[in-house]
Amino acid sequence: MLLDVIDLDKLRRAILYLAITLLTLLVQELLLSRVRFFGIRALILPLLPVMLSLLQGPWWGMIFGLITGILADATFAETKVLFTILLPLIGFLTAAAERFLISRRPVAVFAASVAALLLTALAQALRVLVLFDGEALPLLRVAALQTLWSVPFIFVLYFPCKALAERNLD
Amino acid sequence: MSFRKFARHYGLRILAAVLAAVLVALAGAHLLKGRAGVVSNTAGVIKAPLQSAVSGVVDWFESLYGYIYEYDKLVAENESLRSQLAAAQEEARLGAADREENAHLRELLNLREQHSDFVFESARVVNWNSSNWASAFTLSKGANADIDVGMPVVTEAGILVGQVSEVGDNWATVRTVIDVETNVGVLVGEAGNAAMAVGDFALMQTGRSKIYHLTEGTSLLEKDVVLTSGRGGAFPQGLVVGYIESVLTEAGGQMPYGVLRPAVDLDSLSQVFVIKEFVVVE
Repeated sequence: MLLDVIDLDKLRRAILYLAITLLTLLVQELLLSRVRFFGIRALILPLLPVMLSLLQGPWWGMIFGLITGILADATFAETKVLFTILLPLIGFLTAAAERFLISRRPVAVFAASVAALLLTALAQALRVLVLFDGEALPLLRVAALQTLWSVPFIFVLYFPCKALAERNLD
Repeated sequence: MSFRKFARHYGLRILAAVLAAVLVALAGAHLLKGRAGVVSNTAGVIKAPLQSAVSGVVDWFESLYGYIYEYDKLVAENESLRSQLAAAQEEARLGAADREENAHLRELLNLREQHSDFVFESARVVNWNSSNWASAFTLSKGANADIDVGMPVVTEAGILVGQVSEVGDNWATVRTVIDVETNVGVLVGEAGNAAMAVGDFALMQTGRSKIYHLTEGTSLLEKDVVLTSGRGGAFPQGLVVGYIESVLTEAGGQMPYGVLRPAVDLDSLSQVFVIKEFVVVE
């Protein structure tokens, strides 16, 4: 009876995506916090809602964007709600773009991912600009380098997400 | 012809031939001094490659056995040496860690003697914040060790590192003195001019922060030492923060500011001390 109600494929998929999310957070927190490129660290968390929105479906992107955002705000010292708002929004915007504008081809996933990385970096810069009266140029420099340094990780996340999205888990 | 007739007719001749052959063989052996005869030699020529092949295989198996036997011995010896090396390294590492901790504690003892009102909690730096927009790290202790938000964090030499900004049961986040959210009341130079050390995003990227001079009629000088003023009660008085590296002027204005270089290399921190209690000087 219960098995008729629960879609085991979706449940297994959700568990696996949750595992990917937690692994991504661990990599962000434990590994990327120690690796700097021109003094700047990569930020890979915004890639998750993009991948899931385009490869699995809009709701997946938004829900896992929310989960990732809550966990990210709990992890980062300086933010309390920024990622909780921003990452589901990225999931939504990606889904909307996919509905009306872009395809699901790899090049579209890449373009949407770069846009999400840049949007996140600019939102972080805006926070410092508004709250702490930071100078625009250093903020833009850090935002640009953070985006650039995070781009290679698009390929790292794309293939496992794509493989999972295309696999039948029944 | 029956056998009896055959033996009778040829018997003596056959016996004579055999005896002759034996005699020739004995004589030949004596003359060749150990060399094989034609038959033996032919048989030997045919058998030799086979023997060689079999011998080669046997030798290979024997050498393989020997190799395995020797390899096992070498592996066992290697493992034994490795364990001895690991034990020696562990001993050396513990010795080094003990020496480092002793040095920290000796420095801390001096600090305790200077500030008998301080109650310290030692903690390890377990992780740095992975964001580019803040300068913060995580400690190995939290509320379970009575660490609370706002407590100052120093090195064993009493150099201010930052302030606890968030606390969990067994962890705490510390914002460093160069973080954009940092504001510390300080005294600058020998005259002890009051000023504010304020985090600045651009300077944070280079591991520094800003000093705004508050007292009119005084000026900032390079290499001036910067100490906490203790005003406001957030920090104890007299903790070393750093020194003035350079004096600059705000773009488009006449207001000078100092670039504060922390007295400790923040990236190299491994152990710090949270000041849980101190006497507030107003």
